[in-house]
Parts: sequence; C-alpha cells; structure tokens
Amino acid sequence: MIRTGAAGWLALLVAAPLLVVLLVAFAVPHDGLPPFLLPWLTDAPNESWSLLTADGFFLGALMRSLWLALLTAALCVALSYPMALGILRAVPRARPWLVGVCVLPFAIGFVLRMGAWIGLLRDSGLVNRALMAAGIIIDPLPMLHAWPALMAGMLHSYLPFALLPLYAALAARDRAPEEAAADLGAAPFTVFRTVTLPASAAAAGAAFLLVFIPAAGEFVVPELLGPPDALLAGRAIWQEFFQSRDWPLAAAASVALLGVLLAPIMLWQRLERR
Amino acid sequence: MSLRVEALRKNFGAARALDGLSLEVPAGTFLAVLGASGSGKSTLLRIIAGFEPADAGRILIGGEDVTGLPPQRRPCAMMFQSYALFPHLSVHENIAYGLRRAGTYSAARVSDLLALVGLSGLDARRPAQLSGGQQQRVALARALARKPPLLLLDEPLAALDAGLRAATGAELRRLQRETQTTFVMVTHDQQEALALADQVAVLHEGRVAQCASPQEVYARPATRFVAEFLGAANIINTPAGLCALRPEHIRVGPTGTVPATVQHIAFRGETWVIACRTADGTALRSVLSAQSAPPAPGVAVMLSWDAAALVPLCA
Amino acid sequence: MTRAVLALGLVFLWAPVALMAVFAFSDARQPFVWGGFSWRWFAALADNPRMQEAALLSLGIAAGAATLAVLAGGALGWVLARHGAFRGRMVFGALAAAPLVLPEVVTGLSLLLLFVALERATGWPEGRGVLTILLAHASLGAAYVAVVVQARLAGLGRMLEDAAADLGAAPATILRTITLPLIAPSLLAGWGLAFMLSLDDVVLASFTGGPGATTLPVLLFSQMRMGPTPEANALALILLLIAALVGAVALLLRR
Repeated sequence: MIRTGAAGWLALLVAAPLLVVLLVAFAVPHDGLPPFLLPWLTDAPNESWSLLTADGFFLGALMRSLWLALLTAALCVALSYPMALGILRAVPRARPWLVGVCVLPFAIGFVLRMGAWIGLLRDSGLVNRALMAAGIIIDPLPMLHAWPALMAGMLHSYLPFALLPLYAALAARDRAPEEAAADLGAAPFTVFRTVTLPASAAAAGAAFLLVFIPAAGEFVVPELLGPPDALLAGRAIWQEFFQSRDWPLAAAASVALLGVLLAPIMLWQRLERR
Repeated sequence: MSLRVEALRKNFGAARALDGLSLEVPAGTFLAVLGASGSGKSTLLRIIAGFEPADAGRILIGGEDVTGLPPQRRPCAMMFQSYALFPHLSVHENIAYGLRRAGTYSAARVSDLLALVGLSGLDARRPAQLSGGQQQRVALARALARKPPLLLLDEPLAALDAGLRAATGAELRRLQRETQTTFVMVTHDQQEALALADQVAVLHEGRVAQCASPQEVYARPATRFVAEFLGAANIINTPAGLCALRPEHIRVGPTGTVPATVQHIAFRGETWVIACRTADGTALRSVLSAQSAPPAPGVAVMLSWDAAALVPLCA
Repeated sequence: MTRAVLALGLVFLWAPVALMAVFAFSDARQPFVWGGFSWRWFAALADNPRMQEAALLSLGIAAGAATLAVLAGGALGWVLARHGAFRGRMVFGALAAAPLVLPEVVTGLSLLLLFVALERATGWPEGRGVLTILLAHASLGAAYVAVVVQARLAGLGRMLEDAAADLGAAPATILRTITLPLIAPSLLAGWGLAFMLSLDDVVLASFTGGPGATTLPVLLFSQMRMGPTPEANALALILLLIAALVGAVALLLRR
C-alpha cells in the first residue's frame, strides 16, 4: 500500500511532468491560455524543432552550457578533494563543525550570495574600489557580467554538492591500504594518486555529475553574474517561456537539454547504485 | 517441540547454500549445528525462523508445517548473533517487546526473566549502556520471554570474550534444561558444540554430513570431512579403505610397528603435538603429555596404535 | 597542502558572506560602502511589509513542502531500502532520484505544464499559486528525503526488523515501533533539508507560482537584478545567525 502510494507520487510529480513536457514540445504556439494547441487539435505544423536546429543560436547556447557545466564540475571536484581531506585531518570531534562552517554560508540563500558577488565585483564594487585606492589599477576591471564573476558564482553555488558526497565517501574509506602504501615507501602525493584516488574514483565521478547535470541548465547565476550576450540553455528556456511566451519552443528546448543530459544522468544513477 | 527439516534447498544466484538438507530434532534437545563459515548454517537458521524462503523443502515445528508462514506466526524465537537489541528501547522494553505483541505483558514477567538471566535491576538501561555479556543475556531473556517451544541461536557466544564464553555456555545449558526448550544452536566452534549440545549436526556442502551425540561424532566420524573438522584427525589408507585415527590414539616411542621420522614438534600448553612422516610418506600427528620429553625433529621413532582405534570412513 | 586548500576554500566561501554581515551595519545607502555604524537597515527591514509578507509566505510554503516531502520521501526511501526486487524497481529508483539532478528550469517548466494540463482536464489545481509552488518544492524535497532515509535504512540493516517479526510483531507494528523511531533523526534532517531547499528556490517558484504568490527568493531575485541593497545585507546577517544557531544546536544534540 505504501509502495503504491510512493509509486503514485512518482508517477504524478516526476513521470507525468516529463511526459507532458515531451507532448508540449510538439505542440503549436497559439494566442490563448495556455498559449499552445496540442498537435492533434491543429493543422499548423510544429516549428519548434526546426527553430532549435535552424541557426546556431540554440545549439551554441547548449554547447556553452555544457562547457560551463564541465568547468564548474571539474573545479568543484578539484577543490572538494583537498578540502574534504583537510577536514578529515582534523580531530574527529572537530570534523562535523568544520563541515558546518563550510556549509553555513549556504544558509543565507543563493540569491543573496549572488547579490554579494555583484556588490563585490561590479565596476563600483568593493574589489575595484580597493584596487583603485591601492593604486594597482586606474580603471575598474570589468569582472561582473563576465566569465570571472560567472565562474565565482557557479563555484559558490555548487561547491557543497561536490564537497558533501566526497567528504562522506572519503570519511567512510578504509585507511589501511593508504597506511600500507606509506609503509611501503610511497610519498604522500603518491599515496593519494595510487591508492586514495582510485578507491574514491566512483564517488568523485558521482559528485562531478551531481554538479555537471544541474549546472548545465543553470539559469539564475548566469542571469545575475554572467555576460549578457552569453546565451545559455537555461536562459534560453526561461526567455522563450517568460518573455516570448513560446511554450512549445521552451518545451522543445527542455527536451533537447534533457536528451543531451540523458547519458550523464544514467551514468550518475549507475554510480549512485554501486 | 520437535523440529523437522525436510530436503531443504536454497540457492543464492549460482551459489548453492543448502542442497537437500534434512534434519530431525526431538523435543527438548539441545542441537548444535556445526559447520565452517559458508557451510549454509546461518541460512538454515534464517529459513527455519522464516526470514528467508526456501527454494524447496519443508519445515515442521511440533509436527505442524510452517513452511509458508511469516516469522510472526512461527512458534520459534531467534537469538541473533549480534543480538539485534532495539537501541531505542530500554532493557525492560526490549524484553517486553514480544510479550506486548502477544498481549501477555506484565512487569512481573519481565522482572522474572531479568532474574533468570541474572540482570535484575537493569530495567532502565539502554542496550548501549551494557557490556557485551549483559547484552547477550538481554537478548536471551527477550527470546525466551514468550516461552517459545523452539529457540534458534545464531553463534550465541561468538561475540563474547574467550573468558566469558565457557561460563555463558554453561548458563545456556542450564537455561535449556530448566525451560525444557528445544535449542538449535549454530556455531563454527567445535569445542562449543561438543561441550554444550546433546546432538551435533555437522554441515558440509549444504547437507548434514553426520548427526549424532558429541561422543559419537568425535569417536566415530562418518565421513572424512567430519573426522578432519572435529579434532584434526589423521586420515590413513588401509586395506579396508580410508580410516580416521585420532592423534591421541597414536603412541610414539622406541618400539612399535610403524617406523617414522619426526618432522616438527609444537607446544600446545597441556600437550606436545608431534608431526611425523612414515616411510611411505604418510603424515601422521600424535600428541604427548606436556610432562613427557618430546622427541627432537629429525629423530627416527616407532609408531603404534590399536586396530580398534581405526574408524572406517564412508567417503 | 590539503589544509591550505581547505583554508583557501573557506575564505572563498565566506568572503562575500562575511562582507555582507559587516556592511549590514554600514550607514551608507550604497551596499559595501562603509558610512559609519548604524542599525538603520535592520529598522528598514522591520518596516518593509512587502518583504515580510514574502518571507511569511516562503516560511509557510517551506514548512508545508518539507512536511509533505518527509511523508512522500520517507515512503520512497523505505520502499527502495526494504522492498527488495519488485517489478519496475529500476524505473521507480530512477524516478525517485531524478529530481536531484534535473536542471531546475526543466523541472519548473515540466511541473508548470503538468499543472496546466491537470487544470484543463480536472479543474484542479485552480490557477497557479501557493499550492502549486508547495507541490513543486515537495517533489524536489522528497527526492532528498528519500536519499537520506534509504541510506539510513541500508546502514541499519534488516536485523532489528527481523528480530521484531520474530517476536511476533505484524509488519505495521514493526514500522511503528521499530523502523520509524530508528529513522526519526533522518526524517528530521530530511525535513530541514527540504525546508532549506524550498526557502532557497527561485526557478521552481517562478514557473509554478502565480501573480499572487511571490516568495522571498523570487522577490529578492527581482531586486538583485537591479543590484544589491544594504537591506539585503541585513537580511543575510539575520539568516546567517539563525542558521548558525540551529546548526550548533543540532550538532550539540547529536552527542
């Protein structure tokens, strides 16, 4: 009975929405509410898919999104590894507190944190004013609405998604093989490279994908911090939906994004089940 | 209550855990199921208790077929190897758990059970606040609470220190006598099985290799596996076929019938173990009292034994 | 090496937050400019009905969504950990985990389209608003609760439940007297997680919300597009203090 209820929940709130979005991706825009007609109610052809592939506009956005996601995920994992190991070098009593200190900044919500980055990085922001006051630069550095601010914001938003699972995996690992490697004469970094890294590769892969997949559709961070002309998949979907009110095109773009992410999602689920 | 296990089969994927195992335990018996790890003894217990379905075969408790029944409806209780005490409940509530389910709870009954296992006054403790031996006794009291006619014990002494094991084993034996309960205890420890049980069933490759009294399985092992598993017997080839010969039945001295060379000797506290090799290459072990002087390695000795000490093996 | 990177990471994570906290007390109208000590932005916050209304709405939605997420996610995690192999288990597991990684815009758009389709077909839910945001947040939160509960149940193993069954407890009794008390800390942690996720969400609330239901993050997002405000710094400090207090209490109670 509980299983039926749980299955019903998944059917209604996870499976059904994905099926509906797939359906609407083949609908035709229409003046009215909702602003589309389902394919069997109209003779007008669906143009969403040809629009998506016609010029490089959406494909470019998709590629840029994947690149941004790749960069974000790689940086998050690269930073999380030493951070997690650093926490684990503290005495056991202190570890939960250190994790807490790492996670606490996230409690204020990411919108406010992104606002802080704006306040720090814009032309009249704290960083530029400090650098100019120190005489290091004369004109403000254009950091906001550019890739530096975008990367800072992405990293600041997604770091815990890599840090927490990696920390959990590394905390649960068996230390004996590392001690054996050190005993056999391996230097600390060699121990990490030859024992720790291979033993936690699956967890690192899962953490990478846990950042990569949602980051590929990120909307808010690029909107607030990124270059205005750098169109990303998440922003394209948002704009088609809210500004152009072209729901079928937004749905088709979502389906396309999901299609690209299907392989990483399946890989992630496989790694999580290990 | 009696227990009857008929032709039980259980596979885990390609691995065969039980291969047509049959067993008959009369009411009031203390049976030890003895086997190496991986011999299927824990699986057998879990199937009797109803936690796992068997692929084939039947379980009868007190003559009644319980094969299809869920654990709740079987008239047996189980004592788990790691005790499975409920960490969020007090000692009192742990013992009361089964009584409450049956609607027969009374505080006096729980007190009686605590007294039976010698833990009076520890009602309010949590399992985490008890020593290993105390936890073991709470688990026993909880399993005995509803006076189950059949108690299943999964390695009940394995988690205890060596010092506690003998005393606790004797305690188990006493409780079994007092409560007249049929005990089926799974263990990998042959000393434990021989010391406590009325009957010992030796498991091998998913079947019962031999089921008999401790004296019988030790003195008259039915198969080579039983002979070797209990007390490291010598296996020798005789004209009459394969025979087992206990080390303590081999005499080592200047005179005898079989010439041999001492390979090495080992001190075991109360005995010396003498490993010899005969002229035809057969390795034989003997034991000598620690009081006697052992022969040095490399020395030629003569071995002898009585013909009656040879136990013919069927396989 | 690892400690140096940890320190560097902490500086990176904390720098913007710490600066917000400091400049929350600045008298200047420009954020991140020091203009002398002042409480004025806290007073301004106390006198901002629009923000208070949005905050109350968000807290209500977060509490409701977290509660629903615990009920649904607890059931999902329990089924995944305890039901072994059943028909459709692969699909069940994949769907239960999907909201964890699906990009928010995709989840938001698909849930909105579902609600629109449902309203057309059945008349429910009537329009978009608090209820639809709550359901969207619950759907996300349930996936997180399911992970936490499944991990806890897997860690506990089945032995205690087996022992209860052996002592004569019926399945429903086992669930009530053994399973639920043992996973209660995980359910509480899952509730907190779902609550935080709901309080932090812009995208799902933008898609599934209506004109009458503007949550605090959505309101802040529209303000941040115009640039940060000193009031936001004051709000950040308040949220930080509350979170630090709750976190410290949770860590101390764990012992």
